[in-house]
Amino acid sequence: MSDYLNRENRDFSKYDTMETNVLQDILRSDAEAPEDAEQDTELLLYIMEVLAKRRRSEPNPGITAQEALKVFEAHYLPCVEETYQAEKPIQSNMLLRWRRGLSAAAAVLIVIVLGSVTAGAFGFNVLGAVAKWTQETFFFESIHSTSASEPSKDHAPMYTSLQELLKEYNVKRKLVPTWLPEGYEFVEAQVSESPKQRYYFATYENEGKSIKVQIKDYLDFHPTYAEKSDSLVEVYESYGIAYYIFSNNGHLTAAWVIENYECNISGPVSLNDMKTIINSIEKG
Amino acid sequence: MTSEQYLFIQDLFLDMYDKLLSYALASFKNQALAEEAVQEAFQIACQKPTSVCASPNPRGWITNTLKNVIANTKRRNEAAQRFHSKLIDRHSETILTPPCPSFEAEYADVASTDEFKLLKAITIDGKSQLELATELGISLSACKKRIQRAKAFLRNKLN
Repeated sequence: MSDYLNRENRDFSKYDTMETNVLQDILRSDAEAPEDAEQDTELLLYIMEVLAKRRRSEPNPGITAQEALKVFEAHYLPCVEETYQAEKPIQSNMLLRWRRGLSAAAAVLIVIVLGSVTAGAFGFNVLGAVAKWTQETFFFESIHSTSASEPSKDHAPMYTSLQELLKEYNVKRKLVPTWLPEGYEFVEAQVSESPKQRYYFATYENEGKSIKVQIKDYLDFHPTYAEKSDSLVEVYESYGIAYYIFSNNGHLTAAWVIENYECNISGPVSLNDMKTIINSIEKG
Repeated sequence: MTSEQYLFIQDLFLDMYDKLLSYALASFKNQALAEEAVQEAFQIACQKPTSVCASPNPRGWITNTLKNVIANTKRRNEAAQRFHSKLIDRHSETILTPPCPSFEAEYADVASTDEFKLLKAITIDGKSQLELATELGISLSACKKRIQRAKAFLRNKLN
């Protein structure tokens, strides 16, 4: 609260003790005001935060922002992607394959990321986890891969391998496969980052076919994971880590979480090849 | 939408969700509708990533977007409630007026249609589209399309 006082010389502390319904009346009045009406954003944000804190201290505060984000990615973001696809031509063959995969009627895995600031957590507890992984999430991920696969001038330098990129960001955990089926060659690796997360990805190609490796680093918290879906092919364990392998219209995707990383490898590979790819991660 | 833009929107989501929910709850008093309004505001942000990312005040941008979502939702529900009431009245007329075979055949069973029940769930029972989608076992996108088709169906019936 002192941020507001220092930044704007405005003291909103009187709102800290106001009745909840009075504060809600202020917010409702703003919501009902004409679009061009003057708005005191600082005051509104202050009141919104006061009410949010009170709600968080209640016995049943509802879902957290992290959980709501997963609901957004599972249910609302796909509606955006449908609009996006309707308005812009699809340029990537990989994107077309992912899109066809979405029409599958089977239930899908949805990742629900439960925030945790506990440092030093390694691996995950399959029995204790709650999450699933959506095909919509992977659709979104491939949208990102497609849009970022055109080299951005803002991302320099160009890396010669995904491992080189991870090393630059001091990622010590083994996350990169050291074996791929014959013919696949490294094309590019890029990183996107925000204050709360970092997103690495790499593309390998072989005569028009692509294998993509994607790693999301949550920086501050540890995603947790589990359970099953009809499109799950197998839960494959390698070096104590469970890799969820599921199929999507001829493509296999292996997904796993380790420490604060959420990772996946996807491509037109056989199950045996996918297992060999997975085994090569720890051998690297 | 680039990955950088989505990461920006994700951070804004985590920063603003609780606050925006407070704003929406002040207008809706219904947790599910308030949550849905906030989600729709971020849906709009993803449809206009350049606008939100380039805004000098992204928090104000998303708050204003939520304000518009709330206003649109209320307008939509009020219009649907009027439409729903009109349908109830028209259905009641079939009981009060002398029997007319063609009119009865056309309107007598409207209230029992799936389309009527769908619209009632949204406008009268106050369910969010996500709640309805979950109940029906369909995606949110499919649910929205069903609601649009239901409105068109019932509008045709009345006309």
